[in-house]
Amino acid sequence: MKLGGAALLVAVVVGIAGAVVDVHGHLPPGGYAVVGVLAGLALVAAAKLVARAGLQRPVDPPREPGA
Amino acid sequence: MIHPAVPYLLGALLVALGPVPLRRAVAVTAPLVALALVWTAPDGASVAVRLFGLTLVPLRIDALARAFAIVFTLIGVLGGIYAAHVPGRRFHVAALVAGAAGVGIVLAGDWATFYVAWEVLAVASFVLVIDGGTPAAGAAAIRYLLMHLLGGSLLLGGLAWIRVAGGSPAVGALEPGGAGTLVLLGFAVNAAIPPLHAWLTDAYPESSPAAGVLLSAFATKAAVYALARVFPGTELLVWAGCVMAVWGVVFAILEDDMRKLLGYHIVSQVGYMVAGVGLGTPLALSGVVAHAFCHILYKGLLFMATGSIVHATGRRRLSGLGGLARPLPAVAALYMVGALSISGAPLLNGFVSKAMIVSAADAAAAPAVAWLLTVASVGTFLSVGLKLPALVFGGPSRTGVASPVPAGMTAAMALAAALCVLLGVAPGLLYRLLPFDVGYVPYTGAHVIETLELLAGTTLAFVLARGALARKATITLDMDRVYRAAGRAVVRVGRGIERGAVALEAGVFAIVDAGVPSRRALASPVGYAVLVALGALGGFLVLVR
Repeated sequence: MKLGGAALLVAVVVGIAGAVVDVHGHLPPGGYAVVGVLAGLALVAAAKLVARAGLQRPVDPPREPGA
Repeated sequence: MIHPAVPYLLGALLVALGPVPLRRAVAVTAPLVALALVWTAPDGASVAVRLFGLTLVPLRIDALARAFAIVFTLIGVLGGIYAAHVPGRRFHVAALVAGAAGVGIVLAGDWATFYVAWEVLAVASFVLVIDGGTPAAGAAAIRYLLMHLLGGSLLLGGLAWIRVAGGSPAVGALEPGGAGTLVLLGFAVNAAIPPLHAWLTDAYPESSPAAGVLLSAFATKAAVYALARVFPGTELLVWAGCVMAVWGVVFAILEDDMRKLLGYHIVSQVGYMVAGVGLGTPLALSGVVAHAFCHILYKGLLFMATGSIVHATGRRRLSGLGGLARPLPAVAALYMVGALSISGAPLLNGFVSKAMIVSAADAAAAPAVAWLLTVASVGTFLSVGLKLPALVFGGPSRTGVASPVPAGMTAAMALAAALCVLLGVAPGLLYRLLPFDVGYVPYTGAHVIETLELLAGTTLAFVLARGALARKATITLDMDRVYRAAGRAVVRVGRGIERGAVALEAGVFAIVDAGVPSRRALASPVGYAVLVALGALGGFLVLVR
């Protein structure tokens, strides 16, 4: 949770800094932090879908001697 | 003028014949001499020789070739330092020959020299994989060789077509279509463009820690060079690159094997480069060269760090690692430099190079491309910058450190990390090597703020999804699943044909034995062959109906 809190703090501080000095790119201040959260969660969800589609399986159990 | 491949090849000869201390010295000095030769070669230098009636141009220096040759020799030096503790003759010979082939490809001015160097790289890389020394490494090496022979055959077919059609023997721009399509497919195998990428994540993790550093540098980046040289502005590559960038990160998020995870990130990062080649603008092509240069350094660093962990613990699965920051603090710190570089954090080289390609997409009015590459960047930080270090270096200890990390390994990592920082804080050093003077300024307020926001947002996503990213001992099949299904289908069809032929053969003999029709006609070799072929066809049709 410390990591999450620190990340939130950085996002807020950088967003405010961007708004104060009016320096931002395609999105309003804080927009890229939202993109980071949404894209991150979407990629994790996509990875889970890929796993459920059968492209991931448990590692092989150790083989019995002579098997 | 001496070709930079010459010190490599002489070094390989010395290593093959010399004692162990000589091997270690040559492994570093040969690429160092080659680096000096590339660095001091005048722009536009060219060497031509006549051989077997062909005019070969083994050396042609321009900005594109020089940038790739410099970084190939640079990673050769770092790889030589990293592998200083490796006594094996086979490894050092293969590493030096791979280095010679790498510079041979990027400096070749004619297709014949290019093709020979291309195939030599495939064989040397095969030996580097097999040097992993395990049965799994041997099997992966065979699969690696088969895929690269396929790619080489496609390339050779395309080059032969060009030759027959009276095309230019000089390595230069081609159009997709006809011979160009074969050449493009040959390059696509080496560039690991899905669905032709499975060889990479199959073979690289099985190689030895030292071999992984070199493998991560040469094959895919030689293909990026070739694509930039031959197919700039090919729109198909824009979308192929976007697919690669996202595909790589999705599978990296799933992956439990840390070296395979890095393999998926090669696919993803090469995706940026392939997309940049497809965009084809001066900014995009300079971005491709810059990103290939930086990628070789930070990916080499990441493979060095994970190789050090394998060396120290004998393990490479995230599910079997943990708490290594305490026993391996230098490795953890240097790994993080590589991880933040690949994630595009400010003050590191990835911040400079990745943004060039994304900006080129913006400038080319391709916002979908820019956004897809941005999403891929989120996945990169999520898996390489957060998941892997959290599971390997954080948490309770899960394994002891059996072997200390040799000084050469640490020194090579420190040098690679220093170069990542140097190019991050002084991008002008990198810009001098690029093919176009594009005047790109990476350190704008907007770019820094966007990047910091993106990294912070990704960290929040990691915290929210931490349960889904927990340790899990799994194997990822990826395209292997398709290959396996296709292989099983081929076997089924073959068996069907065999069964049909056998049944028909029995029928034919029954007819011949009965005397109807003429024994002579059916018992003749031609008649027999025709009937067997018809039987096989019948069997096939029955099977596929």
